[in-house]
Amino acid sequence: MAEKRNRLHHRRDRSKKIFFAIMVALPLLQFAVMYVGVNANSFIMAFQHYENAASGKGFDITFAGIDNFQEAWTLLSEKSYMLEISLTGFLVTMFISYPLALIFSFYIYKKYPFSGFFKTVLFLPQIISSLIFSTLFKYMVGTVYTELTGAAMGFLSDPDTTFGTVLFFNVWVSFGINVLMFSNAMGNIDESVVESAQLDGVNIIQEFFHITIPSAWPTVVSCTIITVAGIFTNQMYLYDLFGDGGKFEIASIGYFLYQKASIADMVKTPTEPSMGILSALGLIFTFILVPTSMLLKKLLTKLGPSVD
Amino acid sequence: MKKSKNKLNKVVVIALFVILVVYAISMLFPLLWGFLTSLKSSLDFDTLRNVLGFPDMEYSNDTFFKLSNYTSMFKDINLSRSVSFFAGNEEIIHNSENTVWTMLFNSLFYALGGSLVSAFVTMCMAYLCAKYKVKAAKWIYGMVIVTMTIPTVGSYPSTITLLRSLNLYDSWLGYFFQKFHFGGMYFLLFYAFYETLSDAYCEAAEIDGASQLRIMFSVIIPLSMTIFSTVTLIVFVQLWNDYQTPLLYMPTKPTLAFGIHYFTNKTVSGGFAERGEPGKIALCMLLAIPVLILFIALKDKIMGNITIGGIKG
Repeated sequence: MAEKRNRLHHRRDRSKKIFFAIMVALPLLQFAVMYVGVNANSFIMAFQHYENAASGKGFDITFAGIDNFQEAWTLLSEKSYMLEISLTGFLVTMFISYPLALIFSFYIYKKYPFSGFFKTVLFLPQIISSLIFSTLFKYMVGTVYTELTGAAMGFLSDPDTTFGTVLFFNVWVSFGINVLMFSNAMGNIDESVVESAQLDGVNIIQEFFHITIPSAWPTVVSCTIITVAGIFTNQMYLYDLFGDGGKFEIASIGYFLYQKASIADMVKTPTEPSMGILSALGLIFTFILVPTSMLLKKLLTKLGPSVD
Repeated sequence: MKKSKNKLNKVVVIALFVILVVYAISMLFPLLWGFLTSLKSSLDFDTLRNVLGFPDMEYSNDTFFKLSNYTSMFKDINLSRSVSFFAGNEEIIHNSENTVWTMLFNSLFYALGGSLVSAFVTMCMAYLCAKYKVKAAKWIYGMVIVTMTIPTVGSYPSTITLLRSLNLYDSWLGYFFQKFHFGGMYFLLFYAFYETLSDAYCEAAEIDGASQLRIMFSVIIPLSMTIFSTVTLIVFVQLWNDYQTPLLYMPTKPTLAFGIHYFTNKTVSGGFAERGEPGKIALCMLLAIPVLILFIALKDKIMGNITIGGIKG
C-alpha cells in the first residue's frame, strides 16, 4: 500500500516537473535571447569594427580592440554636459519630485478633502501619453504664453529658460505611479500607532516625519533604486519634447543613446557614431551603475529612518 | 498647546489643498484647451490667432459641428514607411502605406495582444516559481531579482542587430516574442499573491485527479483574475501610449502614437497638414480619448492596490 502511494507520489512529482519545464521553456528562451543574448551581443559589438562588405552585401567584421571604447570616451568628454544633465535630472527627481510625491501621498492617505479627485488627477500622466502632455505643454509654454504676455518667444525656445522648463515638465508629470505606490504603502500603517501618537500631542508635521515616512521607507528605497538604475536611460522627456531635432546642448545620456540608436548604422559615418561605439558607451555606463546602485541600496536600507 | 496644534494642522492641510488645486488646474486646463483647439479651423487658430477663445463659428463651423479635423484624418493621412537592413548577407526591404485605420489597428493589436501575452506569461511564471518546489523555480526567482537590480544601459543597438540577424526585426512575431518577458514589478506582484495563496486548492484538485494544466486553468487562473485584469489594463495603457519601441524595432508598422509623433515632429505639407495646428492637436486627442474613457470606466481597477515594498536580494 505504502509502495503504491510512493509510486503515485513519484509519478505526480515527475508530471509536475515535466509541466514546469514545458511552461517555462519559451519565457526562458526569451530571457536567453533578449537579456543574456542582447547583453552578450552588446559586449561583443563593443569590440567590433563594421565595414561595408566589398560584395555590397552585409558587413566585414573585424576585431576593434579598445578603439570603440576610446571613441566613446572621446565622445563623452566632448559632450560631458550630458552627464551633468542626467545627474541634474536625477537630483531633481530625488529632491523635488519624490518629496512632493510623498507630501501629496500623505494628503491622499489621510483622506483630506477631495483626496480621491486629486489622486485621479495626479495619476493622469500615467494614463495619457507623455507624447500628448508634452505636445500640449509645448503649446502652453509657447503659443499660449506668448499670446497672453506678448513675449517674443516661449519658454522652450528661449535658451535661458529651456533647461529649467524641461526640468519643470519632468516634475509636473512625475507624480502618477509614485503617489500611487507611496499612498498605498502609507495605507498599511497601523492606525493604533497613529492614534497613540496623536494622543501624545504629535502634530501633522511630526506625524509625517516620524511615522509616515519611516513606514513608507522600503517603498521609497525601491523607487530610489529604480531611479538610480535609470539615470543613464532616463530621456527626461526630451524625445517627447524635441523629437529627432533635439536641442543637443541639453541632451541627457538616455536621450542621446535612444536618438542615436534610432538613426545609427553599423558603420561609422563622419557625423554619427557606429552601433559599436554606442555599445561601448552603454557598457561604460553599466559598469559605473552596477556598483553604484548596489552600494546605494545598502546605504539607504542601513541609514533609513525608523518609526520612533 | 492642543489649540496651537490644531491650528498648525489646519494651516498645513489648507496649504496642501491650495497646492493640489493649482496642480489640478495646470493638469486639466491643457487637456480642455487641447480639446477645444481640436475643434477650431486652421484659419481660426493659425491665421486669426484665436488661441485662447472658444471656436469662432464664422470660421470654425465645419470643424466644430462636423468634427472635420477628426473625420479628415481618416481620409487624408497616409504615412509611408520604408526600411532596409541586412539579415546576414541577405538584404531585406520592408515598405508600408498606413492610414489612420491601419495605425489604429496596429495600436490595438500592439496594446491588446502585447498586454495579454505579457500579463499571462508573467502570471504563469510567478505561479510556477511560487508553488513548484523545484530548484529551477528558485533560480528563476533569483534571476528576476538580479535583473531588476542590475541596470544595463544602451542595449538598443545590440537588440536591433540581434533581432535583424534572427529575422525578428520589424515583425509581429519578433514583437510577441519580446513580450514573453516575465521579470519586473508585476512578477513580484503575482509572486506575492501566489505565496500567500493556500496550497489546499491545488492539493484538492490533485486528489481529484486533475492534471497540472487543468489545475492552472481551472483553479489558479480564475483565482488570479483580479490581479491579472489589473496588470493587463495597466500594461495595455502603457503599450497604447508607447511609440518609441515600435519606432525602433517595428519601423514599418506604425501605431497611432508612432504616427502622432511623426506628424507632430516632422514638417509635413499637403493633405492633412493643411489642417494646421488644430489638426495636430485633434490627432493627439484621438490617442487620448480611448484611454481616458477606459480610465474613467475602470479607474478603481487601474489605480487598485498596486504596491511594492522593499526589493530583497
